[in-house]
Amino acid sequence: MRIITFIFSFLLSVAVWGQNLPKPMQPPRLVNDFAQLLTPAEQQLLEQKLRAYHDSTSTQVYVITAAETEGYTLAQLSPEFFKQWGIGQKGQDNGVLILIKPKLEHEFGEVFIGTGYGMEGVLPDVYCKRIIEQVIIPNFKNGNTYRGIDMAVDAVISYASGEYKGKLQGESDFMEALPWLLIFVVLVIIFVRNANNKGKGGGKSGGGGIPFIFPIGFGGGHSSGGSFGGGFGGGGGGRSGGGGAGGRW
Amino acid sequence: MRKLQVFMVVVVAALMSSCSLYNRPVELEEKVAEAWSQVENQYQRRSDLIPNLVETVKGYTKHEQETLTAVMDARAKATQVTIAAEHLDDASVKKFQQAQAQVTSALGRLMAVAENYPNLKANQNFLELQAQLEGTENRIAVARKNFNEAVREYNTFIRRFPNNIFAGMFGFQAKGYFEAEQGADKAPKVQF
Repeated sequence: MRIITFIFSFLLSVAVWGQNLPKPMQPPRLVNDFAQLLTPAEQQLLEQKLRAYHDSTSTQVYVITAAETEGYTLAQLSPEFFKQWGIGQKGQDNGVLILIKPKLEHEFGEVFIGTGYGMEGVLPDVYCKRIIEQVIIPNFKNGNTYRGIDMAVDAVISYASGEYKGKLQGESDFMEALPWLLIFVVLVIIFVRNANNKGKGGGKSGGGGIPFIFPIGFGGGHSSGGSFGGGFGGGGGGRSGGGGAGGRW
Repeated sequence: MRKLQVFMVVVVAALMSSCSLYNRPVELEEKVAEAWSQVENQYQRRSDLIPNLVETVKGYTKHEQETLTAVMDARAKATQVTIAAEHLDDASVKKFQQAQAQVTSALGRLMAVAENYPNLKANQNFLELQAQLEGTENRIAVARKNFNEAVREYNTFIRRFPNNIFAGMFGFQAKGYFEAEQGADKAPKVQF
């Protein structure tokens, strides 16, 4: 009985931790200012900078602000955002998340820079801490929210530059599907041959049709990442192991 | 001829389903093992930070020998508790967790003590170690959560009917979880 209650409470705690995250804003964008700390013009400028960086390197730097975190620390939420939003490209995990909770009357302001697995090398926790304490917090304390975020983004980009050259997800998807495609083609050829042979013997050809053998897992089924140029397609399926650093003011 | 074909189909179907009854838990068990190695890695990472941290603190403090020794002792004990991926049952996971919890609380005391030494707190080396330690604790939390999720999926599978019959036959056994630690999983919220 105790085990059952434990498992139940465990399930419950996971559910609560996971489900209450906001969904990405639509259409997908890199600056998700839920707490409305920035003016639309500022959001636009920031978005352009991040989008340009994403388009040339495939590295996704997200800025998310949230006024309410239901008692969870940003350090706990950061890997959840990575998981649910898929920040960074699948397989490369080259995502960075700048997560901000504004200072309220009775609560500290909090900021956390989270790194995907693939960014831990160029952006170790100590660097994240440095950006927070030397760039973000001094600016935020003076009320320069936009300047703080913008300079932090510049710092992240300069540390990360040169680490990833654009390779987006669509390409690797095709390569993954290729062996299945070949098998499928071979099967079709075999089937068609068989049908033809039978046709010769029996006079009237049955016409065949396509066999109901669809390779399992064909096409992979994961959502595609952002595309070069054009619009931004949202998270690419990157993951984070909880890397990064936080600070408060 | 027709009968033979039907028979073959049935045999193949039976083979395939028993394969998935065996392969699926093997896959899930593999995931658990992978998640476990992440847990161990992250705890190891913390363990590697400790000597450096203790040295740095030692240089700035007096009369804190007891706290420092406690950290080193807890670390030494925790290093001895390792579990092979095949033996991740409830009891051994609990034992592992308890040993690491000792390190966590000893480290907590050490960091609290450090608060009393302004020079130490301003030391660049100490600040970086502190950032690394925080980052490691975050990674530990994520690794533990992922491990628990992998175990839950595995345990659920082997306990479900009819899998439980086969699981017993193939020797798949339930694995242990990390339990939420009081006050450790949720950082205290600061209020005025």
